Amino acid sequence: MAPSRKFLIHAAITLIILGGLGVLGAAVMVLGGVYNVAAIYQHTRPVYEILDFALDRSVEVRLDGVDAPPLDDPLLAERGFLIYRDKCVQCHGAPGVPPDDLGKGMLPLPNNLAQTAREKSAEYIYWVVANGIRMTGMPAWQYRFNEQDLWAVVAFVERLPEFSPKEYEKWDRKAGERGER
Amino acid sequence: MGSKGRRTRRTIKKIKRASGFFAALALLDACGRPDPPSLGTGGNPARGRIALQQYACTTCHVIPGIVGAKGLAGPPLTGWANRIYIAGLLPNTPDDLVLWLRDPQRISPGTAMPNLGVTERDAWDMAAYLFSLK
Repeated sequence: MAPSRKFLIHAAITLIILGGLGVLGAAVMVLGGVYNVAAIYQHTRPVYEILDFALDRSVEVRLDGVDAPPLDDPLLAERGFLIYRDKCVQCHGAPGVPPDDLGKGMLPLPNNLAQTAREKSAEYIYWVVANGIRMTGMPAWQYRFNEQDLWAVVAFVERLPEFSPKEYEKWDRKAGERGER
Repeated sequence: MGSKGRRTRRTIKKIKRASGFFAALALLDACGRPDPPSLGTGGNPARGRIALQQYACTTCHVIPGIVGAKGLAGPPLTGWANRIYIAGLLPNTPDDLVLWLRDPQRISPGTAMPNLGVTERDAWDMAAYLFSLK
């Protein structure tokens, strides 16, 4: 037998054994219920970092063709604020406003969106609002709101870093006075 | 701040009750020694670590030892045991930290840190974890 042929056979046997061990290991992990899914226990650091990075990449590579319209219209941000107050604040909170209990009890925890606005583009935020993120608790909103309303929410989130807690409270009060409950 | 003083005294009484002689000793110790006093908090740091996540603290603060605690809305809580002030207002002792965690809006009205409905037990546990951060 030629040495190269012998090498190939050995390599194939090794791969089959390693693959088998991998499947066996996975079966033990799954059937044994080894990984704790409780929402009070965070992922291990390597799992968390990989998932976090993969999530970010997954959104980034899907932004082709998403183009933000002009978002500086104050009326758009005001419309967005009303939706935010209605649908977002329960989980994400707002400047000086805590998330509700359901938001606090989630893992992953819903982000502080003032920070998200600093770190991500309007297109990125739009994509996440429209499509949601599977198994994070972030719902998709595109079947609930039309295109213009989705961008209105983005316009408001983009402005969040400029809000002091007092300013946010003022917006909230004004909307309440106008009867926009 | 009269009611605050009363509450502080009440909480100090509670620490003394919780860890008795040791806490009193640690408080005395704080006056004379340059090294940070290891104040007895009576809380459970392992429980506190989870509570810091369950009250969404990690959303706004970097907290060493908690995976995913990368928030930048508030200050990082690194080296907490060596901090001198809480929110620039209160001397950093476990009892004042508990007051702050339970009702930041009373101590600093209008601060971006909202009241998160932290229970007394959970606040002591959080304090125990934070004071383990050197």
